Amino acid sequence: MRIIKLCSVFAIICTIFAITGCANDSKADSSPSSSQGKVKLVFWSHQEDAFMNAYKKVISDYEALHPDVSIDYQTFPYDVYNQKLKASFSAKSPPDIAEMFGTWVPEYSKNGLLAEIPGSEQLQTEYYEAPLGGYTLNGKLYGLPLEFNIENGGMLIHPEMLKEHGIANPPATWDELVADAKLLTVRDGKRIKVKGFDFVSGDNITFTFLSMILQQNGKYWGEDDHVNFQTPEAQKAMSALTDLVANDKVADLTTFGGELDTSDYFFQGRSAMTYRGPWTVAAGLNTYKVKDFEYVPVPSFTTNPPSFSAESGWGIVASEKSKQQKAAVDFITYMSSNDNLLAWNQSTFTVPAKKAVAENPEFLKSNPYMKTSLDILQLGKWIGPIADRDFFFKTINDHFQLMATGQEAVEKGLQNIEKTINESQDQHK
Amino acid sequence: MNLDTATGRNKGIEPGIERPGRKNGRKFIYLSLAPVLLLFGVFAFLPIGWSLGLSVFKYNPLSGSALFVGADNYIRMLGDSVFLKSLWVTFKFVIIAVMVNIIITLMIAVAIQRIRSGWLRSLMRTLFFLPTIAPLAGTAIVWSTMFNFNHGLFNILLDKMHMAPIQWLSDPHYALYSVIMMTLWADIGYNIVLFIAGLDSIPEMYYEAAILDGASRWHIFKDITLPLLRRSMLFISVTTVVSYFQAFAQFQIMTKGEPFNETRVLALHIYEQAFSNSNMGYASAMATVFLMIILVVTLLQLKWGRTEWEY
Amino acid sequence: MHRRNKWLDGLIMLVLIVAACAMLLPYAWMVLSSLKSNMEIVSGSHTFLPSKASLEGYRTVLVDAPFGRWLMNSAVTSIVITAATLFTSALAGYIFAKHQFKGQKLLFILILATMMIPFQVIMIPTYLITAKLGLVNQLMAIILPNLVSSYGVFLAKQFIEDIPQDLLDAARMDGAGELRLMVRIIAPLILTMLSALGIFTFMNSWNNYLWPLIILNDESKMTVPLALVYFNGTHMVNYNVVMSAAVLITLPVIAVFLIFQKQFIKGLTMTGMK
Repeated sequence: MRIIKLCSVFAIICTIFAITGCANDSKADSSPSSSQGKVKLVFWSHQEDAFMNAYKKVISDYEALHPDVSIDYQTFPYDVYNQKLKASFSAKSPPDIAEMFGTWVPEYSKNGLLAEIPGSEQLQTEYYEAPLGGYTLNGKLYGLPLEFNIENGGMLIHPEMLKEHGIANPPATWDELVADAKLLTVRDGKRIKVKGFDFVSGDNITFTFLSMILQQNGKYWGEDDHVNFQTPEAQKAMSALTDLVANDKVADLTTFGGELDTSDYFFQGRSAMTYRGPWTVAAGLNTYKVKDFEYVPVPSFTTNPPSFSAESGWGIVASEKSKQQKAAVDFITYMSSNDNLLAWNQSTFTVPAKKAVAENPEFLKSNPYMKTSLDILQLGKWIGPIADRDFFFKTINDHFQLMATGQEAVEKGLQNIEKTINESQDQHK
Repeated sequence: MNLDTATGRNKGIEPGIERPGRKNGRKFIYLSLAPVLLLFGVFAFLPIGWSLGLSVFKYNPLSGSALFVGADNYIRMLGDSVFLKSLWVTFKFVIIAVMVNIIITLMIAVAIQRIRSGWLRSLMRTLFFLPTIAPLAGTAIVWSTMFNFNHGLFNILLDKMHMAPIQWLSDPHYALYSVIMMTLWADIGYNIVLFIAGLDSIPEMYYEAAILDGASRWHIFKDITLPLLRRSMLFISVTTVVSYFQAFAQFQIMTKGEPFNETRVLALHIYEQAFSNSNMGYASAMATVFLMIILVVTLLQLKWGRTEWEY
Repeated sequence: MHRRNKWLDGLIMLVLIVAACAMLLPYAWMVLSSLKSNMEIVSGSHTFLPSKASLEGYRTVLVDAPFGRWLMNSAVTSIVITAATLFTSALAGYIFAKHQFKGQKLLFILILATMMIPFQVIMIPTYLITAKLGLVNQLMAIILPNLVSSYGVFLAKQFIEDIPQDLLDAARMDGAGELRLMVRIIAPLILTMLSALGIFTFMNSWNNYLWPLIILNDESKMTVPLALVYFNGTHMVNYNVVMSAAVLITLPVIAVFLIFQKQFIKGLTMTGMK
């Protein structure tokens, strides 16, 4: 009995070694031996296939140009990336270069953890204002955005569905949008089978709400980095938004918080119009392999131009503590050249943050779906000095759900949002 | 604290008294205890002390500077609706999960014990025990796909029965119960094995006497089995309560506290306040309260357990 | 013996079998999903069996990721941790049980108290300490904090206390040193407890998820449970790959369990370990 057990343990160990052997063989050539005198940089990013491939390409190009530099590229799932960054910077063992979401950057830059990017005055003219906001502190730049994070202004539509309901053109005004959405919603008993206009996602509830305030010429920032949602503009915006779920019933909360994105439901044919950023187009083309959709402008809430609040999106920063700070900043500069950014934005399906790239006809030619977003880039306003991005969005989303299901009046909900967010803002001073 | 084992062993013999003048013994104690204590010191005592100390500071680990705020963090908790909610959710989770767990495991253990054929009995025990050894992170991921609205197993089954699908993890009415279901699957095996051992240790003669008296099945269970299982019961309830208070991976992976904080147990809330929201001081204060709650609940259970089996 | 009632026995058996099948269902789901293609899962076809079995998920796990390396890392760290924990627990347990020194009681209570602390509570300080020691992104960071176990010390003390003092005195008379005494006399006497402790320590460190997630960065240094999150993309989840990874991670644990099942159950009922 004992012998049998020993044998089986031995067999398992052998199997493990065998697998290890195979796996190592296939990997052997990809791990370069570390040689002396080389500058070694560690570069972190979150995991997303398109992004990772684009980074890998830039890295290998850079290494080819600079034989004395080797870049160790490490990636993490999005769910843990923010926490890993915080932990590593707190413990003073950060990567040399890190991909950061623009809205995360102020927390690091104001604590002196990031290296300054030289030539800020020149750069500020080369980039759009909204994406640069998060990276700017006291007029200096601490990192550069790679993309313009724009969830607003454009939506995915199924032209076929519109035609079936006798709608010839995408809606041109907000009222038309609501009317069309009502027509397009397909019900199956009490449940919605196809949503008319889906905006219920972690990002879009908040962005739509803030943009609707801006489009009424309202403001949502008060004094001292506090938000102010007690304005008539905020009231009107939130009422209109909750009405879409509560009264117009063109969307519901059933898919909120699930593991799939609203765009996934769109490409599966479960919504006719979905408010989402242009990056989702890539999933439709590559994962779902569908072409029966369009990406069209979302009309303004008022007669004003459709201005919108936007974030800084993904960008790259260098650590102040890095021993190779110069090389790290040099890599950021290299990556931010027009050509490299063009290639990066093209392959990741992101909106350019740099004017020269956005205006390059080459870009639009390769990503025709981007036209809607490119047309409105200069209307983007930086979302503002949010101290804790995830908390800010979560607070608005939570209360939105309460308001949309009638568990909280809009007025009360806005008060609660304001109070909760301002407390968080104070905690981070 | 008496954490005696499930089946109950004899109480230990009093430790021998060290004879004076054994220099070798002293040296041995210090030499061998030093590294062990060093490890405990660095990786257990120091972090605990650090964490307790932090609870009176406002501390963002990124800025590196801590601001002394006294009891502010503790006072803040009283008015923090999310904290209070998560306290409520934690108790709800622990109470429901522990009660269901003990009832189910006791029933299954009694049923398995009735099986006469030896191999069948051990096969059953193995089947129920198997999930406990799988990595909880893996179990949680597998279960979250089973709960998926569009293509999860449970909704496929509902569909086959012509019932409306359910948002298992994002409907506030179901989310917590879904996680409880998964948690039960993942660890009822432990308690089943412990209960079987407890049942095995009840001498057959008690039953024989009761059968001669003509007692009914239910009376035998209520008047003989249950009282004689007190020790197992106490041990099982204490360990299960402590481990369910600390439940974390399933919440972090399956729900992240959503929807509406309906599944935001304290362990998760503390972790997120510390790591995602950078409120280390506040998180530490909550951790201290959390610790106190676990200690008090455990002590209460031990006290009740004792008085109950003395009658 | 109980009065046997055929009908009741049959009914109970039936219920048990149904419950056991329900227990197996998630395993079946896991294996079947790992054989589907991702498209089939995502598109929401309401079927239990894969329409066309595909090993694509397994291929991705084994070829596109250094899965063998991760297995190796997990095996090495778990083995080292288990061996060290057994040794330090027995040693400290012996000292607490059979020796007396100043502050012994207090020290023992302190060690016991650490059992109550949820790991999340001390995670940040532990991380900062580990970073100070320069161990971030090192396998050593997984091993070092886990070389001692408070529960191990507690168990060892309980069991060693049962060993008659005369036995130890006799051995000392024969001139045995303390270490020799421990290895030759005490260890064999508490072997069952040690094997239980060993099995559970191994399982726990093999399954450990949170700490490696926080402390390890390098792809080549990860341990197996991290494979699960590794394949979870941002906006698109590769279900079949994740399921394949789950199958591959669960298999060795089940194999080890089936081999050592007897010791497992015996150790569990004896120590109540979790």
